[in-house]
Amino acid sequence: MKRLGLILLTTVGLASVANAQSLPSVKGEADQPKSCFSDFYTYMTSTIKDCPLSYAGVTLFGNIDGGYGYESHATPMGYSADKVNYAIQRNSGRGAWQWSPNASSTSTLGVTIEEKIVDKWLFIGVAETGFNPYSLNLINGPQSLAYNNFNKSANQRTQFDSSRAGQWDNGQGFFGISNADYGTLTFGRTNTLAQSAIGKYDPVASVAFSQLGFSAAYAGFGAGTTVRSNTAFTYRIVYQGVRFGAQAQVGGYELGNASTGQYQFLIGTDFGNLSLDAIGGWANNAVSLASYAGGALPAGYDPYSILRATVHNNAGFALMAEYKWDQFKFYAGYVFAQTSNPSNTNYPGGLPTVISSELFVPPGAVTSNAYNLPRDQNTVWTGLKYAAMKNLELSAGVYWQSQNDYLQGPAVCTGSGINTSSGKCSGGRYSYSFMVDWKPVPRIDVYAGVMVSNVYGGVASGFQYSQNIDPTVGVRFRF
Amino acid sequence: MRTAIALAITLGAFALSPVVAASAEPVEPVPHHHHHHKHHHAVEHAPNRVAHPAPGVEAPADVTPGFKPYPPGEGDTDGLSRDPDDCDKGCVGGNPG
Repeated sequence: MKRLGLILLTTVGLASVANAQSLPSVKGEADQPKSCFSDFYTYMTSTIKDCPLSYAGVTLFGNIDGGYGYESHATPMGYSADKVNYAIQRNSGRGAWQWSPNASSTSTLGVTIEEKIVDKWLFIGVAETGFNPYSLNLINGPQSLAYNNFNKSANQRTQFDSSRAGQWDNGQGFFGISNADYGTLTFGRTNTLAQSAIGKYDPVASVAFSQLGFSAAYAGFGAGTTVRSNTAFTYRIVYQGVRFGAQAQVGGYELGNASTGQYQFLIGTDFGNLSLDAIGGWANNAVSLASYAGGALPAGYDPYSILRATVHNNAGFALMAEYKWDQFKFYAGYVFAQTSNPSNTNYPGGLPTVISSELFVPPGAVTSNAYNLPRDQNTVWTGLKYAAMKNLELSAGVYWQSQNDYLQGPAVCTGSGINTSSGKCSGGRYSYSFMVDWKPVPRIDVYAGVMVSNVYGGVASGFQYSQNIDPTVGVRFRF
Repeated sequence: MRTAIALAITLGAFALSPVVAASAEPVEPVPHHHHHHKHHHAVEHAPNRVAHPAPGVEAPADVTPGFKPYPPGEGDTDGLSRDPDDCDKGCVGGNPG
């Protein structure tokens, strides 16, 4: 917490010493413009849009998000993880009060650049990294898995199969050109179109209180690691009120990607108060990583540098809608995801470089036949936001994902709940979510919320408990 | 599976075609991207200018208790916005989802 406070004070301090003559301004009481950095109150009451930390087209930006909460079935936070188990997980154990980072959104530090080239043409770029505001570690999901290699579920810390692997640009890192008429073309580490758009249509958009925000597997059409491509070309344009997007990944594992190829397409529009987006895509030979979790480790390797992997093809589409009416926003969405055996089933050398250059999957630790029968996942959600006051927003949502029975015969599914015989049996995950967000000043969010998350059937197989309730309060500062 | 995705996109395109057709008819010129330029270049070119958000463009909770959609062609479209409502056009800043 001291580190968090230090970051806050340092940030505000840097802002306050900025040159007032060269910085943006806001209207004073007597209609006289004054710098938004003229004093602490003026800075805090300005918005991040009106008063960014910008100079010569370069903008430093960030979020710092910290909180405290109770997990009815908790897991100690992993050293490289970005969060606690807000949703029920296999390693969720007994209830506990916990410091709860990134509950509203991922803490981020980044830089954008936007320079005029000629006429309407701009050179643009971004580099952003996500971190845990309590440990100040960069988010490293694969490492959080490796740290549990010796531990069975009951003794684990939180772990997440993530595309964020401790890189300096574990969020995004791309550059490109943008034109108001001809669209934007970028290249680099980029959120997939689905990962980027799904937050807009999430009624309780957050990490701690949303099933969609807690896990990237929904936006990843079945794999959380593929929601960012390290080497993606992305083209977006808004033409006659219709949004179009296309994204193609070039290169594979050797360039830090979690698949050997990924492609997505988007079409959407705003029709009056109604916003619609449809996204489709697929990834070839996508990699899902897993801890050894107390199992036998292969000899000759640093036990904290290796992981197990399942390789698969994944594909799907998302249909999402938002309707604005007075002080309400209504949301509905549907995601279909199919996971099948990979195009390449032969990995004699393991996976030397997947996502992270510091972790690898040794020979013999790659599973490529987990989906002899494809897994189909259907996810639906709905909810609303209500702006009770100009700075107070209430939101609620219901989320439900189900999967088919893809257990190959002659095996059959038996049991129920956490005693279901296989993770391949039919089952699912559902949750109810509520959140209150109060902005005492535009840069500060004071929030409280709760998600009641549940698993059943095959999804619950091997879990210790089938439900978690996570009342959490927190504060987010943005600059 | 790819056929299903292509079908979904195609259906989406068909569903949107009336919108495209309607919006292709002559309309008042829209100040494309003007909010975006105002925001990003206020620092360099207009240090003493009062920065007003364009109507209906600012994040709702910051300005008004009501929610207003973006007029066509407005809103940040270069993928560098931090407003979650822009995220279907690309966004930065750790937005969840």
